[in-house]
Amino acid sequence: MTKSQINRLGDRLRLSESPDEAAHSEPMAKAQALLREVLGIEATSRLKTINTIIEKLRRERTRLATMQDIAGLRVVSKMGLAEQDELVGKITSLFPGSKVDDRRERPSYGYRAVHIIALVDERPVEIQVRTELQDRWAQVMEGMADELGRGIRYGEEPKSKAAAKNLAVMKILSELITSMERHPGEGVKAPEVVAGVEQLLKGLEAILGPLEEGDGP
Amino acid sequence: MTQPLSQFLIVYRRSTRDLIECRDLGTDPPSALKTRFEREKKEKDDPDIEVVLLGAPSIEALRQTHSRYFEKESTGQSVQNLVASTTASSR
Repeated sequence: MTKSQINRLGDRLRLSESPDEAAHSEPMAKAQALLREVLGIEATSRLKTINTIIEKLRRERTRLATMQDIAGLRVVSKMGLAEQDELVGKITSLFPGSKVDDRRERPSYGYRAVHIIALVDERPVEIQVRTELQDRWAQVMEGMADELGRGIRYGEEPKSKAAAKNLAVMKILSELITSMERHPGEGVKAPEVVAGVEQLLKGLEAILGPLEEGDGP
Repeated sequence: MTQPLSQFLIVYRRSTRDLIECRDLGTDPPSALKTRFEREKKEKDDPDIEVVLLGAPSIEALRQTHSRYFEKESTGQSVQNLVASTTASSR
């Protein structure tokens, strides 16, 4: 889509009270109710805002019709990777034909979670399944993006050195959380963690020192 | 019987991480969505303002899954807290 087409689409969405979003609202509520009633899972829901739809169209040069996360649910639970897999299995069984995007294996700039795209009444509903640590990481990153610009979530370099250091810490933390989640209960005793994570912690220590002096952009 | 899901309108200023408004709009999603559209139109010229509608069984559930709107920490502080909580869980 060209820039002017995207701008026109933005205007249309705003003028028409966004029928595309409204059309996703009911399937999203249905999926949320199913998770609750059948699996006893309390998911929270959100519809993408018009501004974030426009941002995504600009960033990914995609089309509104193919956007799969206009409607989204989020499930956060204190669990390890095996339990997360089990939960994902239960959810995909509840929504036959759903697709799984495992971002633990292919993190998106450090972001790790499992996203399930369920089709409900022919509309895609994205169900994000996160462990507590994966969620904590994602929330901190979102907060950083609020302050420093949302592009940092997609690989854009921040403007200040302090912000770049914080981002470097986030990258290391993502790897640290990956190692820890692969070895639940073993913590730093797991061989992989001993070999790799102690080195990461040293890196963190080196980076964290100057952070107190200025962490803004 | 399960508790009905509430629709919460969140108005948030990104750059300062201020939660400007958090309002329980009740349990009727179409009516809540209409309110969100109206508010979003009002704020459309300010890209720093995020207007979002979140559905949850309680505000506590929202604080867990969307904590970003409710925590006003500096970037450095939130990263340091994450380091502390992550390393604490590894022990």
